[in-house]
Amino acid sequence: MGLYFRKRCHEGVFYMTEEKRHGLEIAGLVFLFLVYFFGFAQGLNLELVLNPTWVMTVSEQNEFLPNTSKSSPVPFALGSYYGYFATDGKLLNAKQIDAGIAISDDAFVSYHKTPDSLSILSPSNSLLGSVPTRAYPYFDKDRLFFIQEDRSGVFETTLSGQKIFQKDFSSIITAFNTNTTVSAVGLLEGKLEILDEKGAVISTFSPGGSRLPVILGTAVSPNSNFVAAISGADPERLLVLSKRKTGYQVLFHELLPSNFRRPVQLAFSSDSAYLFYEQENTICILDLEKRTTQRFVYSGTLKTISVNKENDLIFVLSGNSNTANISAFKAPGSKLLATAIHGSEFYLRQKDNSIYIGIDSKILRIDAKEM
Amino acid sequence: MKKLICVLLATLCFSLLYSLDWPLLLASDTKKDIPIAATFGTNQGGRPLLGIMFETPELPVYASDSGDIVFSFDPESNANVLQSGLGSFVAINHNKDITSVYAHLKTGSVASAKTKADKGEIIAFSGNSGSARKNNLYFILFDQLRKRYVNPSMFIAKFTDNKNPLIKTIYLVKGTNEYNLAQTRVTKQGSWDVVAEIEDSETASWAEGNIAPYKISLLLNGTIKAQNNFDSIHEKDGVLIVFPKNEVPYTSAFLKDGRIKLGTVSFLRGKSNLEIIVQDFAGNERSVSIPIFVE
Repeated sequence: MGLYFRKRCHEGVFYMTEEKRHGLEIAGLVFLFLVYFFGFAQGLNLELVLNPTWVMTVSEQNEFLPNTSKSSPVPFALGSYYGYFATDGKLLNAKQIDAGIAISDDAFVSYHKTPDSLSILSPSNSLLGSVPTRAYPYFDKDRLFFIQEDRSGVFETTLSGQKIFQKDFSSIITAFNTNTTVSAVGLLEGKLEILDEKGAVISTFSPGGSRLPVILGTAVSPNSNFVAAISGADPERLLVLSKRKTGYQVLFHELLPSNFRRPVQLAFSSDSAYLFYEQENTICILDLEKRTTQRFVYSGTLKTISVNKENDLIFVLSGNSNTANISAFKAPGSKLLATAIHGSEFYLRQKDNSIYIGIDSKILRIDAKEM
Repeated sequence: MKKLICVLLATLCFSLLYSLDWPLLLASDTKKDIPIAATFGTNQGGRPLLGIMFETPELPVYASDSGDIVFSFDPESNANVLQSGLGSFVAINHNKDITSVYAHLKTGSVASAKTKADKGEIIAFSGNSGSARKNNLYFILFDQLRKRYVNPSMFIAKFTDNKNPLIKTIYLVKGTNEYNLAQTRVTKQGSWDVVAEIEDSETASWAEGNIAPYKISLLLNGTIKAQNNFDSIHEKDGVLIVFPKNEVPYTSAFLKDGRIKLGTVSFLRGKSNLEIIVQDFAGNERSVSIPIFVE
């Protein structure tokens, strides 16, 4: 760097004073900053801000209180109680769970060990319908299914108890998932059956490549374009089928290092772009377009994967008998939160932009906002 | 005849390939101490039982043969996953071809991390999970090759059973018309469904419904009209087929009150003879012959 610098132009060489040179340097820097700011700048990652709103104590309340909040009541099943609470923190009712409970936003079905007739009740406890059956009820995406006593079949009813379809399968059901129109049923023999909303078979598929055939888990994407399954043992495989004109065909498959011999959880993001699936103490996020997988470690046994429809936050509840670990992820691959909570009974539910976490006899509402 | 030979060959192959044993108490002299609560094909509220249900206190459950544990389910550790009346259960794949399922197990007694089981190894304890009314063990065999549930009694040593099956009541049914043949022997000509209440008597007293025998034959004037064997159950067109020989779905054969439709007979005017022969697995037999006067 000298006192002068030369600028070459077609007229020849000329010299400039130090003040002028300094002014030009500043102008150049400003110019470069403006070019970067408007041309190449990247936005900072949004941060997830979790704001605790209220804590509610769950105790037996057989009376059904009116819901005065604007939002519909939120169902829960926590420890030995089930019921509904309002989004403003009022417990609307809480009853003792008999043998089991199937509960959704719109209805609940409480069942004994040996049911013979089941009542479908609204959140305000009015009778919507009844179903004479020994099968166990099961809500999935607000559809009401009944799993036959020995898992040999399934039937779906409306909330008034009218049968929509009934189907038996060639072997015991090991996995089941549905969206509003498509259901995927995994069987002990290793077959995956994909059904339409009337129970008719759209596709059947028996994934090979494993020494032992079995379907351990399955998921249907919200837009019905994809069905995923974890199948087999020695080795286990992840399969993603995509919808074609003639049914579902394999889009992607991957051998997995896991060696599960139990149900495995899978879920799609609400935009059907990502698949979340369980591996040994790991949640995997598969980008269906790029076919890349992000992995995040959690501790303990996986209890629930919850995907928020509004913001695609995925909350994972895992843990052991007296501790739960709550982790939050955002596709395609960032871990936003990891915290451990002491307790023995847990509940996790996402609705709108709120997360409801139940720990023993308390339910906590946390509002999530990205800033 | 061909079908019979096929069934016999399949049974023989099974017996040679597998040395399955009952999952409770391996000592043969004590097997008879475990009462059977329900046998394969028992009509349970209109649906067939897919295996054998033993009435038992809390006892060790042994692997029927060596194999790979392919699936285990515990209602407590899988609280957010599909629940069913099977409760806690384990499925073991033997030699890729047959899978044994042990259900209604004591919750928490299944070692979920296990991947293999030797024959006679304790895999869990009997319990009352799922829809078990009492402590019991629900034992199912599934043929992976032929894709069907098979009667375990066909492949495992028979129980001691000296009692004949019972034919409790027989009805002729057409639409809403129903005649109990204990009360009347007169009917009108045409086609009638023969519906009966039949049970094998070597059963526990608490068992719900009628325990299925092995074979029920329906004869009219000495001619076999239907032969219903409880040997396997498979799925066809989304419905379980309980009597494979004639491809009879359970929806046609099993009434919700526990009775079984044995078949349809056509009566001509005059005198006819309706005969029902029932056999259990031990070979005990009961038959009734009923003269019918057709108007």
